[in-house]
This record gives sequence, C-alpha cells and structure tokens, in this order.
Amino acid sequence: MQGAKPTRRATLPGMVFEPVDPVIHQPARLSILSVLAAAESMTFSEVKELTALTDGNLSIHVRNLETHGLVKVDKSFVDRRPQTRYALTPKGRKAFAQYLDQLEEFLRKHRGK
Amino acid sequence: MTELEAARSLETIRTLMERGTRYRLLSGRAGIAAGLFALAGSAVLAFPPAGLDPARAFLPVWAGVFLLALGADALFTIRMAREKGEPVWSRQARTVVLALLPNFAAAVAVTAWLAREGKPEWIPAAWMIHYGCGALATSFFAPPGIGALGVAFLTAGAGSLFLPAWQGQPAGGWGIAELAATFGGFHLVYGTLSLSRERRAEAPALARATAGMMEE
Repeated sequence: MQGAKPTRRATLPGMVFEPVDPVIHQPARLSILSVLAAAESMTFSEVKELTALTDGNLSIHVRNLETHGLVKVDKSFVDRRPQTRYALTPKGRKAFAQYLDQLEEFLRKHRGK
Repeated sequence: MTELEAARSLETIRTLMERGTRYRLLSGRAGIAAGLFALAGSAVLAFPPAGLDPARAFLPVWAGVFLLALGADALFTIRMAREKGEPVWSRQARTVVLALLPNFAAAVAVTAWLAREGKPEWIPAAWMIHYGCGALATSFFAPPGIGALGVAFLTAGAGSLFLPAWQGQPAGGWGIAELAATFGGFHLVYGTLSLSRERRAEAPALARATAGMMEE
C-alpha cells in the first residue's frame, strides 16, 4: 500500500498508530484483507488483479494470513480446471473490523492536532 | 504510522473494498452477442423483406433484439459463474440490476408515450440516453469499460436529438443507422475489448493454478 511508507516527519508521543494486530498491519496483507472483506470469496487471479501484487508476494502473504487463521484457502477443480479461492474466516473478518475501528479511532483523536 | 499515513491507509482500504464489490460476471461475449443481434435487427428494418412494414415492425423487432441480447447475457453469465465457481444471483448482481431498473423503467414509459403520441422518431434518442444513464449508474459496481460505454451512449443520444428529424419514421433514415452504430457498434467494440482483457487475465492464472496443483 503506497500510503503506508514510513516518513521522517517527527511525531509527538501518542500520535503514532500502534495496532493491536501486527499481522494485519502490513500493506500487502491489509490489501488482501480489504478486497476479501467486500466479497464472499475470490479467486487467486481476482485478488491479484485488485491488489496488484505479484504471484509470489500474494502467495506468501496469503499463507501468512492462513497460518494465523485469518484467511481460508480452497483448492478445487471447476470444469476440470484448477482453481484457488480465498475467503476471510470469521476470525479474519473480526480482526479486520477491529483494525478499521482502531484506525478510525486514532484519526478521530488526532485529526487536526 | 503517523496521522497522515493512517488517513492515507484508510483511504486505500476503502478504495480496495470498493473494487472488491465490483460485479465480475459480465462477459465480453455477451457484449459481442448483443452487438450482433442489434446489427441483425437494424438490417431487417433497413432492408425489410417483402410484406414487412418497417414502421409497424420497429418495436417488435427491437423487443426481439432486446430479449435475444438478454438471453445471451444470461447464458454467458451462468457459464462464467460456473467457471469461477460463483453464484449467479450474488449480492453484486442484485446491486447491478437495482441500479439498472430505474432507467429501464423510464425507457419503457417514454417509449410507450412517444409511440402513443405519434412521435416515434424520438425513440432511438430516448433509448440511447436511458441506456447510457443505466450503464453509468452501474459503472460503480461493474467491470471497467462500462462507464465509457455509458458516456458513449449518452453522447450519441444527446447528439441524436439535434440531428434532422425524420417525422414519423423511426424505422428509416437516421434512426436505424444510429441504433446500428450504437447498440450494434458500441457493443461490438466493448465486447471485443472486454474479451481480450478476460483472455489476458485467464492465461497466467491458469498457468499459476496448474503449477500450484502440481506442487501438492
């Protein structure tokens, strides 16, 4: 995610966003969770197209999310063609919602300071 | 993460979530089929067979074109949904249909009024404008290209209002040419571009999926 690059700007104590869940707080993983949050499930190619991640990056980050129980991976054959589908688990959906709440709360508190 | 970065991050999340809600089962093949049916309908009216009155046949022929295009769209949508393993009547599909309905209903009402008032020469422009508005209404949830298609129809429809009228003759002169160029030509261009994009997306996905299966 472009906007998540660290800057050299000095910050006041308490004005730095520190998320509870460090697994989600990573640009590529956050992109994956964002697109999956809006749909029931998506194929590998759809997630790749929407997030603009490379095949390798997407696979690595999805595996990480799967390990933490945030994303469910289904591999199957559709019309004799292999297909990989991703979906958020209930735990993943909850963690993503909590992350968004945290982010919004942080902005509400510090906007204009 | 600072306040500015947090705000940017939230904006990116929203954009990605919006992209995730897009309807993805609109096949380029459906666009090509709709274009071909529209061209066939236009040809029947422009070069009517013996015994066919183009003025009387205008609405029935275009109703047929609409039903055939709708049938083709349903067929390709079901096929695409099967290929992707997705439900046909999904939340995204319902959103697109709901966005289309007001303009479709308005087009039907305006067509009925123009036909009853004896002003059928304005029907092609009304169809193009309503179709353009409908396409634009769905462009927020539809695949890329639908917005451009909507703008093209809207521009053509608005331009058509200023062309010389052919009093009482929707089936002759400019009317048929306009319908052939827009419902035929625009759909063919949109369908062809969409299909080539679908094929570009399919090829690497299939290769990657196959490689993934081989690993396991």
